[in-house]
Amino acid sequence: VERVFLDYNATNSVNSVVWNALSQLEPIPVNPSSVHAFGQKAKQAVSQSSEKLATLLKVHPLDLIFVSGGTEANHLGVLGHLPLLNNQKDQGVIYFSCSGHASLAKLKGKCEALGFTTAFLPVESLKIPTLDLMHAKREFEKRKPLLVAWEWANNECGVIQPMDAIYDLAKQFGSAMHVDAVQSFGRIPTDLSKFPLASFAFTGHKYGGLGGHGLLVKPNTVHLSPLMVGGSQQNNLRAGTLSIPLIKAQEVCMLHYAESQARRFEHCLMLRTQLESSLELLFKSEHPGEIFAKDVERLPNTTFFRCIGINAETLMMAMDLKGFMISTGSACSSGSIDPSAMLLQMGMDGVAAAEFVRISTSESITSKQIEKFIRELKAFIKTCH
Amino acid sequence: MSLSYHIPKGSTVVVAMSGGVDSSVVAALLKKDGFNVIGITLKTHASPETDPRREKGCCTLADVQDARLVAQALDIPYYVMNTIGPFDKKVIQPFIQDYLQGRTPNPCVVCNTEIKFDVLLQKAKDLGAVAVATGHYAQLSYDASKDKMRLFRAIDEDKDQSYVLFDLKQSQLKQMMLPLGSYPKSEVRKMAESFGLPVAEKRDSQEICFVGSQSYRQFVEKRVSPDQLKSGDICLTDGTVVGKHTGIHQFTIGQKKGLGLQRYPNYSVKKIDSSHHRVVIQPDEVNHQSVIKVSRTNWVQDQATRSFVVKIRYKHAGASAIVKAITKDEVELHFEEPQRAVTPGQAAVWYDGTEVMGGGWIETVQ
Repeated sequence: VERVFLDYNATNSVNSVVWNALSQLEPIPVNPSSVHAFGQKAKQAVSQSSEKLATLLKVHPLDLIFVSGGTEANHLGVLGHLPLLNNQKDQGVIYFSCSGHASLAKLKGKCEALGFTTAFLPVESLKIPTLDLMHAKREFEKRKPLLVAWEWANNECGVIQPMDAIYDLAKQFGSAMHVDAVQSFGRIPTDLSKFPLASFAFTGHKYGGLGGHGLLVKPNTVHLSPLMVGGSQQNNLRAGTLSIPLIKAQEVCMLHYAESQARRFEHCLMLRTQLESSLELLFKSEHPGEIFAKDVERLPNTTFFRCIGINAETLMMAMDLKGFMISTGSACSSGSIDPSAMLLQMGMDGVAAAEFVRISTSESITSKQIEKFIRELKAFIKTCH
Repeated sequence: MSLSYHIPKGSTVVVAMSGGVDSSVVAALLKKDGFNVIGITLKTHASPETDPRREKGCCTLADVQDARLVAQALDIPYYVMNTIGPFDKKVIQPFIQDYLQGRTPNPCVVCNTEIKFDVLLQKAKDLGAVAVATGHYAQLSYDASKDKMRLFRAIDEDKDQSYVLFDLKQSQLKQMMLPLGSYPKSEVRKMAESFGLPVAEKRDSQEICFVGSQSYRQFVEKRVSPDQLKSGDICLTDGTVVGKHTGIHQFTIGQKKGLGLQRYPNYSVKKIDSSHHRVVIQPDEVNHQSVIKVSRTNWVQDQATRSFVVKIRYKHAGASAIVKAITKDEVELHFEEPQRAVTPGQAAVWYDGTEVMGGGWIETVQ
């Protein structure tokens, strides 16, 4: 069978521009912390990458902290605040998005274990799963926010949060803010100069990087405490020898991915429109179903839908057998699937939550492949009747 | 060597892969024989163990890794299916309830009837498969004259698992494949080697998968609130109280060890009275019964009142008894020779020669 990857929110293939850039690295031992000639070369390479990434994101080069990926960036962006907030523990709350990725949502428990009061803030409704701003404001008036941790775009349903409004609200209440920008980068425009008081997490592998590298952007107004100590690398914020190849990969994949953002947006949106209109037709005429948050601003490449009465695990397996790799919920260490934690946190019932599957495309997916996917999906649904 | 199957070659079948030798060989055999094989491992319970190297039992993380390796070696699609919810409801909760009521359950029978050949079978059909194949040691054949399946013991007497399959209905048996029943275990290991399967050397698992290496007693104690574990008396058949216990879940009929009664060295548990939290003991040499009541029967073949060889626990050799129908789903077993330690909660399975005719659940002992 022809294999079609429709799971680009999970990861991407390594882009050839990244391999090319890596193959051009000089084969010399490089540690930017060393003061000798090779060390200086390394330091310069890091500076150059930082300059380029900072220009891209419209921040200062010293705002960048190279980390191992999105998960670490979220950890440093949230937990890094805690030592400095320690004396305000009783004066406020750390607020979390109820639709965040596990690497954000599970930090809530970590903060609690360290003695902080935390809370999820609800979305407007299951139809409009963005932060309920009025509710958030009332909540902030009652209990001061110490830190607000949100995702720019959701990894499962692709819903884009009203970042400007959330940022303004956090700012109005004098709260720190951390944003998980892993999924939104390269899919919608990412201009960080609008948010000078917030930190932002990025990964690399979703943008065509290698995996194992990511970025935290932290303006100098944000004060963090390191999670890992040791050497004085990265302004004492992240000990550990800097990897020149990984930093190069981070630079090249992000620059390249951002450069093609507009084209990607257009292409993916075309595919999404095609996919969703076919799905809606299917739901009307052959089998009931729904597209999650259909009328809300979403990533152009993401469709989260269910066929009512068909378990997501079954649908995922059946489509995989036909060559289409789609995804669902959260896989545990054995590879078995649990219902989407995000949908449950938002208040959806367990049966419905266990039916949603995700399609996430990229610029390399064709309209023909979407057409074939729909054909195979229909054929499968017929066998279920 | 090729087997004859009642499922046509070329069909899509799901092999329930545990990561052990037997189900791995089933997958390899069926693939070789021209079936379109999909491997599925059931995730039946959330293991508290995070290091797969320390896990014991079956269907652990390490076993999932083994099953995945085998599937890759055979180049078949492979998935892990989440059955934690139904398994807890249908298998684990009744298992705990049985112990709390003084019964000794057999969860493997229930898992076969309610999970492997129900929940998994449904999933297999959803995926376009026509049958579920497992590594059980038992044999199936199709009797065209009656349009009925027949279930037989395995060739390998030591490995025979027909006992745990007695509760399957004809509709389930028709959609099952048990390719190993006609091979001795030693042959299956050799096949694993000749197929080059990475699990050929793996030892057999014996424990109940969700209990693992802990005792049943510890498992039950962890899963219920302390007020459900009521202490009570240990007494003789005449009612004389001779000791105390901290919960009837710790006892099984015929148990001699762990009674803590030095004055009654050769006594064993005769009866567990859950309504009074009382354990009754008597001299082991008289702890025998001739008549057993069995309920929730399942006749694999036509119901008949006559003499069969009946097994009253998995490792029981079998003994002659008249199986006498009382109602539609109840029978009385009248044994020629009284049987030791007849245990409510266990299955009684009756055979005509090597064929499973039916079975049911031991209720009370008279």
